[in-house]
Amino acid sequence: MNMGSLSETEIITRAKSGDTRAFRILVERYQSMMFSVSCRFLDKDEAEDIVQEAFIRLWKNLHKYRPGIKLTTWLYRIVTNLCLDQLKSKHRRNRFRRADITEIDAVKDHSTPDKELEGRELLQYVLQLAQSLTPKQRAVFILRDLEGLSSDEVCEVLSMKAGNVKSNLYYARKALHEKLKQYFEVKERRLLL
Amino acid sequence: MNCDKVKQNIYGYDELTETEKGSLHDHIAQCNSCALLFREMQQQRALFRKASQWKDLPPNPDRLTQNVMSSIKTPAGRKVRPVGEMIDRINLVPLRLALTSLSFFLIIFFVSEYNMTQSTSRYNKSYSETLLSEKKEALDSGRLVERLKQKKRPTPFTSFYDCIKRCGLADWQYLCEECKIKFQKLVKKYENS
Repeated sequence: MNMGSLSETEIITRAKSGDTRAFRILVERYQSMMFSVSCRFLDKDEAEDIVQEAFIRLWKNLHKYRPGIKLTTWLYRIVTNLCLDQLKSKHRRNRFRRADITEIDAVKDHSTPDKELEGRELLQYVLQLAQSLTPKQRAVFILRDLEGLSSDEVCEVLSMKAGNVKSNLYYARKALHEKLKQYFEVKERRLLL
Repeated sequence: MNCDKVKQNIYGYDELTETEKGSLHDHIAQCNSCALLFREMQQQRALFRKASQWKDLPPNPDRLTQNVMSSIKTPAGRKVRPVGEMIDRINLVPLRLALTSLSFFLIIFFVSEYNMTQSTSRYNKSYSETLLSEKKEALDSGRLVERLKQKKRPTPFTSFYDCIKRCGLADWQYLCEECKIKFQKLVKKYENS
Protein backbone atom coordinates (compact mmCIF):
# COMPACT_ATOMS: atom_id res chain seq x y z
CA MET A 1 0.00 0.00 0.00
CA ASN A 2 1.20 3.51 -0.85
CA MET A 3 1.77 5.27 2.45
CA GLY A 4 2.14 8.66 0.79
CA SER A 5 -1.58 8.75 -0.01
CA LEU A 6 -2.58 8.39 3.65
CA SER A 7 -3.54 11.36 5.79
CA GLU A 8 -1.36 12.32 8.74
CA THR A 9 -3.89 10.99 11.28
CA GLU A 10 -3.97 7.64 9.48
CA ILE A 11 -0.17 7.48 9.40
CA ILE A 12 0.00 8.23 13.12
CA THR A 13 -2.67 5.61 13.86
CA ARG A 14 -0.71 3.02 11.87
CA ALA A 15 2.56 3.95 13.60
CA LYS A 16 0.76 3.77 16.92
CA SER A 17 -0.24 0.19 16.19
CA GLY A 18 3.43 -0.64 15.55
CA ASP A 19 3.78 -0.05 11.80
CA THR A 20 7.44 0.93 11.35
CA ARG A 21 6.88 1.95 7.69
CA ALA A 22 4.34 4.55 8.83
CA PHE A 23 6.71 5.74 11.52
CA ARG A 24 9.47 6.08 8.92
CA ILE A 25 7.25 8.53 7.02
CA LEU A 26 6.86 10.62 10.16
CA VAL A 27 10.64 10.61 10.65
CA GLU A 28 11.23 11.70 7.07
CA ARG A 29 8.53 14.36 7.26
CA TYR A 30 9.52 16.02 10.53
CA GLN A 31 13.27 15.51 10.85
CA SER A 32 14.10 18.82 9.10
CA MET A 33 11.84 20.81 11.38
CA MET A 34 13.21 19.10 14.48
CA PHE A 35 16.79 19.49 13.35
CA SER A 36 16.25 23.19 12.66
CA VAL A 37 14.79 23.78 16.13
CA SER A 38 17.59 21.80 17.79
CA CYS A 39 20.20 23.84 15.90
CA ARG A 40 18.78 26.99 17.47
CA PHE A 41 19.62 25.63 20.89
CA LEU A 42 22.72 23.53 20.24
CA ASP A 43 25.43 22.91 17.65
CA LYS A 44 24.84 20.64 14.65
CA ASP A 45 26.42 17.46 16.04
CA GLU A 46 24.43 17.68 19.23
CA ALA A 47 21.30 18.57 17.27
CA GLU A 48 21.51 15.35 15.27
CA ASP A 49 21.71 13.27 18.46
CA ILE A 50 18.81 15.23 19.93
CA VAL A 51 16.63 14.58 16.86
CA GLN A 52 17.42 10.88 17.01
CA GLU A 53 16.62 10.74 20.72
CA ALA A 54 13.42 12.73 20.15
CA PHE A 55 12.14 10.26 17.55
CA ILE A 56 12.95 7.32 19.81
CA ARG A 57 11.02 9.04 22.57
CA LEU A 58 8.14 9.68 20.17
CA TRP A 59 8.07 6.00 19.20
CA LYS A 60 8.05 4.90 22.83
CA ASN A 61 5.24 7.27 23.75
CA LEU A 62 3.19 7.10 20.58
CA HIS A 63 0.56 4.99 22.33
CA LYS A 64 -0.23 8.06 24.47
CA TYR A 65 -1.07 10.10 21.38
CA ARG A 66 -4.63 11.41 21.24
CA PRO A 67 -6.05 12.69 17.92
CA GLY A 68 -6.85 16.09 19.51
CA ILE A 69 -3.16 16.88 20.04
CA LYS A 70 -1.24 18.57 17.25
CA LEU A 71 1.74 16.37 16.40
CA THR A 72 4.05 19.33 15.69
CA THR A 73 3.32 20.80 19.13
CA TRP A 74 4.14 17.45 20.68
CA LEU A 75 7.36 17.21 18.66
CA TYR A 76 8.31 20.76 19.65
CA ARG A 77 7.79 19.81 23.26
CA ILE A 78 9.97 16.70 23.04
CA VAL A 79 12.79 18.48 21.19
CA THR A 80 12.70 21.59 23.38
CA ASN A 81 12.79 19.54 26.57
CA LEU A 82 15.71 17.48 25.31
CA CYS A 83 17.56 20.63 24.24
CA LEU A 84 16.92 22.31 27.59
CA ASP A 85 18.23 19.24 29.43
CA GLN A 86 21.33 19.30 27.24
CA LEU A 87 21.78 23.04 27.82
CA LYS A 88 21.46 22.62 31.57
CA SER A 89 24.08 19.88 31.64
CA LYS A 90 26.32 21.94 29.37
CA HIS A 91 25.81 24.96 31.60
CA ARG A 92 26.93 22.90 34.59
CA ARG A 93 29.99 21.65 32.71
CA ASN A 94 30.94 25.12 31.47
CA ARG A 95 30.43 26.93 34.75
CA PHE A 96 34.16 27.15 35.36
CA ARG A 97 35.05 27.95 31.77
CA ARG A 98 33.86 31.56 31.65
CA ALA A 99 37.25 32.76 30.39
CA ASP A 100 37.05 30.50 27.31
CA ILE A 101 33.56 31.75 26.46
CA THR A 102 34.66 35.38 26.65
CA GLU A 103 37.52 34.51 24.33
CA ILE A 104 35.13 32.93 21.79
CA ASP A 105 32.84 35.97 22.00
CA ALA A 106 35.75 38.25 21.25
CA VAL A 107 36.70 36.23 18.18
CA LYS A 108 33.18 36.18 16.82
CA ASP A 109 32.41 39.80 17.61
CA HIS A 110 29.98 41.22 15.04
CA SER A 111 29.23 44.44 16.89
CA THR A 112 30.90 46.53 14.21
CA PRO A 113 29.76 44.90 11.00
CA ASP A 114 31.38 46.07 7.81
CA LYS A 115 28.55 44.53 5.82
CA GLU A 116 24.94 43.75 6.58
CA LEU A 117 24.45 40.36 8.15
CA GLU A 118 22.64 37.88 5.96
CA GLY A 119 21.05 34.44 6.23
CA ARG A 120 22.91 31.93 8.30
CA GLU A 121 25.42 34.48 9.59
CA LEU A 122 22.62 36.67 10.93
CA LEU A 123 20.93 33.73 12.58
CA GLN A 124 24.23 32.64 14.12
CA TYR A 125 24.75 36.17 15.44
CA VAL A 126 21.29 36.30 17.02
CA LEU A 127 21.71 32.83 18.51
CA GLN A 128 25.12 33.78 19.84
CA LEU A 129 23.53 36.77 21.59
CA ALA A 130 20.80 34.52 22.92
CA GLN A 131 23.40 32.36 24.68
CA SER A 132 23.52 34.95 27.46
CA LEU A 133 19.85 34.31 28.30
CA THR A 134 18.64 31.77 30.84
CA PRO A 135 17.53 28.45 29.32
CA LYS A 136 13.85 29.32 29.82
CA GLN A 137 14.16 32.80 28.31
CA ARG A 138 16.09 31.31 25.43
CA ALA A 139 13.45 28.65 24.82
CA VAL A 140 10.62 31.20 24.89
CA PHE A 141 12.53 33.53 22.56
CA ILE A 142 13.40 30.77 20.07
CA LEU A 143 9.89 29.35 19.95
CA ARG A 144 8.07 32.69 19.83
CA ASP A 145 10.38 34.94 17.79
CA LEU A 146 12.36 32.51 15.65
CA GLU A 147 9.96 29.61 15.19
CA GLY A 148 6.92 31.88 15.05
CA LEU A 149 4.76 29.85 17.42
CA SER A 150 1.76 31.59 19.00
CA SER A 151 1.82 32.44 22.71
CA ASP A 152 -0.65 29.64 23.43
CA GLU A 153 1.51 27.13 21.60
CA VAL A 154 4.59 28.27 23.52
CA CYS A 155 2.65 27.80 26.76
CA GLU A 156 1.70 24.28 25.68
CA VAL A 157 5.16 23.30 24.46
CA LEU A 158 6.94 24.55 27.59
CA SER A 159 4.10 23.72 30.03
CA MET A 160 4.20 27.28 31.29
CA LYS A 161 1.50 29.78 32.25
CA ALA A 162 0.76 32.69 29.90
CA GLY A 163 2.08 35.24 32.41
CA ASN A 164 5.29 33.30 32.83
CA VAL A 165 5.83 33.12 29.08
CA LYS A 166 5.13 36.84 28.78
CA SER A 167 7.63 37.82 31.48
CA ASN A 168 10.34 35.50 30.08
CA LEU A 169 9.77 36.96 26.64
CA TYR A 170 9.98 40.49 28.02
CA TYR A 171 13.34 39.87 29.72
CA ALA A 172 14.69 38.02 26.67
CA ARG A 173 13.74 40.78 24.23
CA LYS A 174 15.03 43.47 26.58
CA ALA A 175 18.38 41.74 27.04
CA LEU A 176 18.75 41.14 23.31
CA HIS A 177 17.75 44.72 22.55
CA GLU A 178 20.55 46.04 24.72
CA LYS A 179 23.02 43.80 22.91
CA LEU A 180 21.68 44.66 19.47
CA LYS A 181 21.52 48.39 20.13
CA GLN A 182 25.10 48.87 19.13
CA TYR A 183 24.46 47.00 15.90
CA PHE A 184 21.48 49.21 15.09
CA GLU A 185 23.41 52.38 15.90
CA VAL A 186 26.20 51.44 13.50
CA LYS A 187 23.69 50.47 10.83
CA GLU A 188 21.75 53.72 11.23
CA ARG A 189 24.96 55.74 11.02
CA ARG A 190 25.82 53.92 7.80
CA LEU A 191 22.36 54.71 6.37
CA LEU A 192 22.76 58.39 7.20
CA LEU A 193 26.12 58.61 5.45
CA MET B 1 -0.03 55.62 30.77
CA ASN B 2 3.49 56.23 32.12
CA CYS B 3 6.70 55.57 30.20
CA ASP B 4 7.73 52.49 32.25
CA LYS B 5 4.48 50.73 31.48
CA VAL B 6 4.70 51.75 27.81
CA LYS B 7 8.27 50.46 27.54
CA GLN B 8 7.15 47.17 29.03
CA ASN B 9 4.37 47.01 26.45
CA ILE B 10 6.78 47.84 23.62
CA TYR B 11 8.85 44.73 24.44
CA GLY B 12 5.70 42.60 24.48
CA TYR B 13 4.00 44.37 21.55
CA ASP B 14 2.84 41.12 19.90
CA GLU B 15 0.96 40.05 22.99
CA LEU B 16 -1.07 43.27 23.30
CA THR B 17 -4.75 43.64 22.49
CA GLU B 18 -5.89 46.15 19.87
CA THR B 19 -7.00 48.62 22.58
CA GLU B 20 -3.61 48.38 24.32
CA LYS B 21 -1.85 48.87 21.02
CA GLY B 22 -4.00 51.97 20.34
CA SER B 23 -3.15 53.61 23.67
CA LEU B 24 0.54 52.74 23.14
CA HIS B 25 0.54 54.50 19.77
CA ASP B 26 -1.15 57.52 21.35
CA HIS B 27 1.66 57.69 23.91
CA ILE B 28 4.56 57.30 21.47
CA ALA B 29 3.12 60.08 19.30
CA GLN B 30 3.93 62.43 22.18
CA CYS B 31 6.96 60.79 23.83
CA ASN B 32 10.28 60.80 21.95
CA SER B 33 12.17 58.28 24.11
CA CYS B 34 9.34 55.74 23.88
CA ALA B 35 9.04 56.37 20.15
CA LEU B 36 12.77 55.67 19.75
CA LEU B 37 12.49 52.42 21.68
CA PHE B 38 9.45 51.43 19.60
CA ARG B 39 11.39 52.04 16.40
CA GLU B 40 14.34 50.02 17.64
CA MET B 41 12.10 47.19 18.65
CA GLN B 42 10.46 47.21 15.23
CA GLN B 43 13.91 46.90 13.68
CA GLN B 44 14.77 44.13 16.10
CA ARG B 45 11.58 42.26 15.22
CA ALA B 46 12.37 42.56 11.53
CA LEU B 47 15.87 41.29 12.16
CA PHE B 48 14.57 38.27 14.05
CA ARG B 49 12.05 37.58 11.30
CA LYS B 50 14.84 37.67 8.75
CA ALA B 51 17.05 35.45 10.89
CA SER B 52 14.23 32.95 11.44
CA GLN B 53 13.92 32.37 7.69
CA TRP B 54 17.21 30.52 7.72
CA LYS B 55 16.70 26.90 8.70
CA ASP B 56 19.50 24.42 9.19
CA LEU B 57 18.93 21.10 7.46
CA PRO B 58 20.30 17.75 8.59
CA PRO B 59 23.57 17.07 6.74
CA ASN B 60 22.55 13.52 5.85
CA PRO B 61 18.76 12.96 6.18
CA ASP B 62 18.91 9.33 4.97
CA ARG B 63 21.52 8.41 7.54
CA LEU B 64 19.51 10.15 10.26
CA THR B 65 16.36 8.24 9.25
CA GLN B 66 18.32 5.00 9.18
CA ASN B 67 19.78 5.66 12.63
CA VAL B 68 16.33 6.36 14.06
CA MET B 69 14.78 3.29 12.45
CA SER B 70 17.57 0.99 13.65
CA SER B 71 17.29 2.40 17.18
CA ILE B 72 13.60 1.79 17.67
CA LYS B 73 12.46 -1.53 19.05
CA THR B 74 10.27 -3.77 16.97
CA PRO B 75 6.52 -3.36 17.48
CA ALA B 76 6.41 -6.83 18.97
CA GLY B 77 8.64 -5.56 21.77
CA ARG B 78 6.07 -2.93 22.62
CA LYS B 79 3.17 -5.34 22.63
CA VAL B 80 4.82 -7.60 25.20
CA ARG B 81 3.98 -5.17 27.97
CA PRO B 82 0.20 -5.30 28.27
CA VAL B 83 0.38 -4.55 32.01
CA GLY B 84 2.46 -1.43 31.37
CA GLU B 85 0.06 -0.22 28.72
CA MET B 86 -2.88 -0.90 31.01
CA ILE B 87 -1.20 1.14 33.76
CA ASP B 88 -0.53 3.93 31.28
CA ARG B 89 -4.20 4.03 30.45
CA ILE B 90 -5.18 4.44 34.09
CA ASN B 91 -5.69 8.14 34.08
CA LEU B 92 -8.28 8.42 36.81
CA VAL B 93 -7.02 10.57 39.65
CA PRO B 94 -9.30 9.02 42.35
CA LEU B 95 -8.17 5.54 41.36
CA ARG B 96 -4.55 6.56 41.51
CA LEU B 97 -5.12 8.17 44.91
CA ALA B 98 -6.86 5.03 46.15
CA LEU B 99 -4.00 2.84 44.93
CA THR B 100 -1.47 5.15 46.58
CA SER B 101 -3.30 5.10 49.92
CA LEU B 102 -3.68 1.30 49.68
CA SER B 103 0.04 0.92 49.12
CA PHE B 104 0.75 3.18 52.12
CA PHE B 105 -1.62 1.12 54.25
CA LEU B 106 0.09 -2.11 53.17
CA ILE B 107 3.53 -0.68 53.96
CA ILE B 108 2.39 0.37 57.45
CA PHE B 109 0.70 -3.02 57.99
CA PHE B 110 3.77 -5.01 57.00
CA VAL B 111 6.09 -2.84 59.10
CA SER B 112 3.91 -3.29 62.19
CA GLU B 113 3.65 -7.04 61.50
CA TYR B 114 7.38 -7.29 61.22
CA ASN B 115 7.87 -5.47 64.53
CA MET B 116 5.37 -7.78 66.24
CA THR B 117 7.10 -10.88 64.86
CA GLN B 118 10.41 -9.55 66.07
CA SER B 119 9.15 -8.99 69.64
CA THR B 120 7.45 -12.45 69.76
CA SER B 121 10.57 -14.21 68.61
CA ARG B 122 12.55 -12.29 71.22
CA TYR B 123 10.11 -13.47 73.92
CA ASN B 124 10.21 -17.08 72.66
CA LYS B 125 13.96 -16.98 72.70
CA SER B 126 14.12 -15.79 76.30
CA TYR B 127 11.51 -18.37 77.34
CA SER B 128 13.42 -21.24 75.73
CA GLU B 129 16.62 -19.97 77.33
CA THR B 130 14.95 -20.12 80.76
CA LEU B 131 13.75 -23.66 80.13
CA LEU B 132 17.18 -24.71 79.01
CA SER B 133 18.81 -23.25 82.10
CA GLU B 134 16.29 -25.07 84.30
CA LYS B 135 17.07 -28.34 82.58
CA LYS B 136 20.78 -27.71 82.93
CA GLU B 137 20.28 -27.01 86.58
CA ALA B 138 18.26 -30.17 86.94
CA LEU B 139 20.99 -32.19 85.25
CA ASP B 140 23.62 -30.84 87.59
CA SER B 141 24.64 -34.03 89.51
CA GLY B 142 25.20 -32.45 92.92
CA ARG B 143 21.88 -30.71 92.94
CA LEU B 144 20.14 -33.83 91.62
CA VAL B 145 21.40 -35.92 94.52
CA GLU B 146 20.31 -33.21 96.91
CA ARG B 147 16.87 -33.16 95.39
CA LEU B 148 16.64 -36.94 95.52
CA LYS B 149 17.64 -36.85 99.16
CA GLN B 150 14.96 -34.30 99.80
CA LYS B 151 12.39 -36.31 97.97
CA LYS B 152 13.40 -39.63 99.60
CA ARG B 153 10.67 -40.67 101.98
CA PRO B 154 12.07 -41.69 105.37
CA THR B 155 11.57 -45.39 106.21
CA PRO B 156 9.31 -46.01 109.18
CA PHE B 157 12.13 -47.67 110.96
CA THR B 158 14.55 -44.86 110.55
CA SER B 159 11.84 -42.54 111.54
CA PHE B 160 11.10 -44.62 114.65
CA TYR B 161 14.71 -44.62 115.84
CA ASP B 162 15.03 -40.99 115.07
CA CYS B 163 11.88 -40.42 117.03
CA ILE B 164 13.14 -42.47 120.01
CA LYS B 165 16.42 -40.67 119.78
CA ARG B 166 14.72 -37.34 119.66
CA CYS B 167 12.02 -37.97 122.30
CA GLY B 168 13.75 -40.43 124.61
CA LEU B 169 12.24 -43.64 125.97
CA ALA B 170 11.09 -42.09 129.19
CA ASP B 171 8.72 -39.94 127.46
CA TRP B 172 7.38 -42.56 125.04
CA GLN B 173 3.86 -41.19 125.47
CA TYR B 174 5.06 -38.10 123.58
CA LEU B 175 6.02 -40.10 120.58
CA CYS B 176 4.13 -39.59 117.40
CA GLU B 177 1.20 -41.89 116.76
CA GLU B 178 2.98 -44.05 114.23
CA CYS B 179 6.00 -44.54 116.45
CA LYS B 180 3.78 -45.13 119.49
CA ILE B 181 2.07 -48.05 117.73
CA LYS B 182 5.41 -49.49 116.70
CA PHE B 183 6.79 -49.04 120.18
CA GLN B 184 3.79 -50.83 121.69
CA LYS B 185 4.29 -53.67 119.20
CA LEU B 186 7.94 -53.96 120.25
CA VAL B 187 6.96 -54.00 123.92
CA LYS B 188 4.41 -56.77 123.26
CA LYS B 189 6.99 -58.77 121.35
CA TYR B 190 9.45 -58.39 124.20
CA GLU B 191 6.84 -59.50 126.82
CA ASN B 192 5.87 -62.55 124.80
CA SER B 193 9.42 -63.59 124.35
